Amino acid sequence: MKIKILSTLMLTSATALLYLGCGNGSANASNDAKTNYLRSLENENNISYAGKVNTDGSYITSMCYTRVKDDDGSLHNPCYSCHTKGRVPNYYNDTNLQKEYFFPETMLQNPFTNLFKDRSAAVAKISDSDILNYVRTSNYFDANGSIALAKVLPENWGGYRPDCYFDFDAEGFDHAPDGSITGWRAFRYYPFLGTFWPTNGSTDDVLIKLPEAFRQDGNGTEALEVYKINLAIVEAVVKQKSIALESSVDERLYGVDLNQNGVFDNTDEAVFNAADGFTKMAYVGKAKAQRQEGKVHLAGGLFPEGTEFLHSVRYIDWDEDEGHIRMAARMKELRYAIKREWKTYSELSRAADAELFEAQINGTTQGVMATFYGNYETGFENPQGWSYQGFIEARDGTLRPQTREETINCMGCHSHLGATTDSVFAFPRKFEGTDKTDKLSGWNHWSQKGLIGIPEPKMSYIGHGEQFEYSFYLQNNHSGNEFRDNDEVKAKFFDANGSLKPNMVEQLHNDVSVLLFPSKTRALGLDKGYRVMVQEQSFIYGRDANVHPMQNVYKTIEPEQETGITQAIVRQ
Amino acid sequence: MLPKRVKSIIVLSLIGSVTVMIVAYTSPSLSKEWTMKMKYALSVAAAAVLAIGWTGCGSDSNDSKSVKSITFAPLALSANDTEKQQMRVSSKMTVTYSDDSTEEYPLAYKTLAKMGDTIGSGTMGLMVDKNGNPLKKSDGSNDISDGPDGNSFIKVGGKYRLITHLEERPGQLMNTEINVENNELVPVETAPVDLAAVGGTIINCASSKTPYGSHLGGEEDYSLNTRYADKNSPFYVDCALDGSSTDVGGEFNYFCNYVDQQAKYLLDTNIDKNNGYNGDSFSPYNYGYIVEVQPQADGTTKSAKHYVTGKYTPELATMMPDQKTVYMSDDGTFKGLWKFVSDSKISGFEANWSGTLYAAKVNQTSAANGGAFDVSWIELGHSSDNDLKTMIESKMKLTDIFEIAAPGDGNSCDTGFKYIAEDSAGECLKLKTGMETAAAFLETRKYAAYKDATIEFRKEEGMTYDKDRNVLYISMSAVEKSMEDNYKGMEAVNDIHLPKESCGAVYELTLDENYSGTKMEAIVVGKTLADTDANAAEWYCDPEGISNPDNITYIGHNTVLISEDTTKHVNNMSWAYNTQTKTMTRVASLPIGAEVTGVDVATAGSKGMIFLNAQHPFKDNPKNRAGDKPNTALIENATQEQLKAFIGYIDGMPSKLFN
Repeated sequence: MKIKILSTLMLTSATALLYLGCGNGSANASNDAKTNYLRSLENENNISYAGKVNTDGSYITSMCYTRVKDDDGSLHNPCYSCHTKGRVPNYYNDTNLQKEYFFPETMLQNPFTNLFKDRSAAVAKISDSDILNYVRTSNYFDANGSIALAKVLPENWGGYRPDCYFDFDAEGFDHAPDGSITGWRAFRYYPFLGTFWPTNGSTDDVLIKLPEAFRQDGNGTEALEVYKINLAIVEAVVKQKSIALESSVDERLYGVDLNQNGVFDNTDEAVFNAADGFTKMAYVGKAKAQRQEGKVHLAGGLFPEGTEFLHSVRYIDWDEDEGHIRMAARMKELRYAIKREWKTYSELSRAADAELFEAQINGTTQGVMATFYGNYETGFENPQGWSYQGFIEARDGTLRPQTREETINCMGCHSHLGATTDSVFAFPRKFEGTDKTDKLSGWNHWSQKGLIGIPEPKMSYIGHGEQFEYSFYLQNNHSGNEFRDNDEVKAKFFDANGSLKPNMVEQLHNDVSVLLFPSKTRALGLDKGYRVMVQEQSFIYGRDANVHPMQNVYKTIEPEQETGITQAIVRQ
Repeated sequence: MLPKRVKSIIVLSLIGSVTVMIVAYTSPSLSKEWTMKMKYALSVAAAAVLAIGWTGCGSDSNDSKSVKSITFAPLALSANDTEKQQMRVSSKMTVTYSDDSTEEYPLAYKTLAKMGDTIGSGTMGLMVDKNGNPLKKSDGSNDISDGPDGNSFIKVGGKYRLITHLEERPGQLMNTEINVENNELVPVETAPVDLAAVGGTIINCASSKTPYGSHLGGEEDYSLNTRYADKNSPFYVDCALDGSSTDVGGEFNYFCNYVDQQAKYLLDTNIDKNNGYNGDSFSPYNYGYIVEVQPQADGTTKSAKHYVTGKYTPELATMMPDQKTVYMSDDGTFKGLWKFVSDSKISGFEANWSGTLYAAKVNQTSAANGGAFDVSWIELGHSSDNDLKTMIESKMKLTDIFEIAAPGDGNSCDTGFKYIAEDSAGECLKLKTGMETAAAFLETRKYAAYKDATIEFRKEEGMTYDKDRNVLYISMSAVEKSMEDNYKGMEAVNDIHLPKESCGAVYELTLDENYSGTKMEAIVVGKTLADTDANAAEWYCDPEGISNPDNITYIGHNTVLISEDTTKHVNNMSWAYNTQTKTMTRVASLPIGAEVTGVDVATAGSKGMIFLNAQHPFKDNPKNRAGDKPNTALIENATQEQLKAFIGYIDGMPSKLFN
């Protein structure tokens, strides 16, 4: 009995010590500020920051519940775009998810009830001019042009504090109001299949920032030329292919054999060389020294640690002068990622194996619920060493930090898929043109140079060879999105028999906007549908901007249910 | 060993801080009674600190008396988040002697090594190829296992060696030299066991020790079932064989993964899909056996693969005291229970065993409380390791032994074929003339099913022999699927038809004077909680009982240690089951998300120890009765250090208990 008293005391004291270690008086005040900030957001938006509200499995996306086999037996396969064989060092291979639903037991009941909502009445109440005014009003900048979140977030906010001004020069570099370079650089890329086509809901952009050492010369002085070369090197490393430099480089200035020809000379190319564990390649400037010191690393298919991405997901605006859509000022979400830790190929392989073998080792025929390390503030970590964190539109239209459950929503796509490169989608799909007049010039923001006139990308698939990537998607999905509720694309690209219209495919080959851009009516309808969801603050029940209930989605999945697809499509 | 020492200092300093705080609280304003209590508590704390320091205390005074019983102080369930994250063990063992005097031994858990630790010139868990070179990826990185499993602590030539399984593909065993310094185990050198001569190994799971001091472990090979390897089999898988673990269509496949991984170890680039995936040195027939390793005084090892124990998915083997009879378990769904009887007594390490292999045939006599069965044995064949090795080296394939076809509706087969179910699938088989011996040893499960043996066990894991009662205990991680009544209509025989119990059971196999099992009966059964049970919000299986028993170890004195591999308890636990009183005492509670592996009872001088590893801590996320994960926050906030698997032992017992 007395021993029990003692051990209880020991525990209490130990706990007290732990808490004492965390804070002094001023930190407590800041903690209160953060607590108050989050609590008021919870009250205003009827949300909960910690814990589970709807589901443990918010990393599983709503489109994974799509019924891919019609009653008449016809098959639709949008699944392959994500669920495929990864390219090393992406050791994931989730091709099985084309064929089976493989959900954890508690996910058999579709938790994304927003999919089945009819928002048409609420949408009908919003006029076109109201929604256009709404989407044209920035919620990123306040009325004074300051970054709203940067001011609103409490002082001791441990996560990302927005620091990009979306003020890009001709080379895509972002500038602060004082003219300095922020480090963020915009790039253009082929939007990922389906979900990220504006016709399916949103416009978006992606920006990259390499850590300071990659932006400095050997003496630690900021040097834009060094940054540009390092970005090209990183692109070559990530894509595992040689990349043209933006301008000719004298290798002697950097002491790096960029073109891998054995001598220091002038070069127009950063050549990819995997030999000897990537030791033939090097970064330039201070990052070169840091790699030698083991502070940063270089290996094919991987970004160096410290790399950051910023991804704004926005409403669709309508450009009256040009007669097509454009990116809206208003953001739906601001997503942030930082690679905090280097993971070797062996570690990456082991992480993928742990998942691939989980079912076998546990002797189960069902999926096992994934858990991610981290939190909504500093982000949830994936096995590739990245943390993902985000902000989403609050009921009043401002941006607020995502809750835990909303943040975990990022993790399914950014961790377990075969389709990604180092868990990232856009940068591996970056355009590679270096000439500003090139249709496919890489370093610009979409607001500077859009998607019109961009030729269709190509991709190789096992057994199918090289295919036009978007046409192949339409051909295999027989629709323009996962849910098959995009009637506009259906009418535009498919005839009454459900076959692709050859003339439209031909147009698509030359200009992806033919497929990717919605009409004004569709664009504003999507905006309004999403606006209603923002008013509901119901993101954890599904973020899709559907106005009408989805027809091709299961409400429940049977244990061990197969999709009906028997022949998987796998990226080469 | 630096990490361990640092940890000890932290523990001591924590106790120190607490002591200071207690003193601070003992102020004049407190009542006299309270002050007394505190003083008492302090002296207990001081005693505990001393006891932890001097684990050898009180070891010899009772040598003349015999031990009547041992009991562990019951370990309470983790009471809070801190405890859920810790490795916790029973505070003491009480030994009661024949004259009813007692002696207490404070217990503590000691970490021996974490995966990736540098030990001497080696690295714990570093994976190597057949030449001993690290299995590097193209970025130059080394591969460190996080799957420590079976342990055998063996003394040879005056030195202590710990053989540790790595549950990997390719498999590997570590041979670690251990010194006893200041009454603590200190690893001084580690190296992989060289198994190149037997073609390497795979998924080395649990292990046991032979009476003559060697290590016996199972190759828990789930997927090198030859039905996937033979072009004439309807189950054939066409692997890409490019190291990508995929078939030619790019889909991930377990069989292809196993082949790729073993080929990488063997440096075999010449695997022939047209000939049953036999390569220059790889053969699917070379895995799924019992591996024996005996450390030698010079630091080397003798090793053998005992083909004559049959090919299936062995968790481990347990040798009986006659040193002729060996039992093997079989992990998975639609699996068997196996017995090998050697032609002669195995008195020391022998590379070439010869004898007869049997499969259990059970007749269910009760379905209550986990069930009861009469057991008989179906003789499969007689052979020797050497003969079978020659057979494997001749590059055999499945259809040299059986014709195989896929069953039709209602498990129908063409004339001349017999329907069987094994390894989660139904097959139509026809034995080829004169292939009985090959079938018995290389296609053991198929052949046993063909001869109507019981191939219906499910997740058969640990086994251990009780010399005091002459019984064998077998843990069945879950009583479900093929142990239910004609599961999915797939069962050819349906010998076992039990109600489902996902929390599992431990069975007792009664042995006759020849160590042959005659009856089998559940002695401890886990309990799936009712939805309405107060514990159901956090637990799936009753926390006062077992959940998915796995490792099982008889430590003497009527005590069986039952250890868990479960996501249905918040913390995986080890239990002491008293075979006389039939009571269960909780002995260990692992950090959340970790599985108990490598349970081994060992002695070093006057020290008695129970080895016990924590595999994959903070990785599994336990579920409650509704399938929800109420402890997710603990997993989400795990630190890098918490995520490292570790090898260690419960310290503080006298060796005389285990000698």
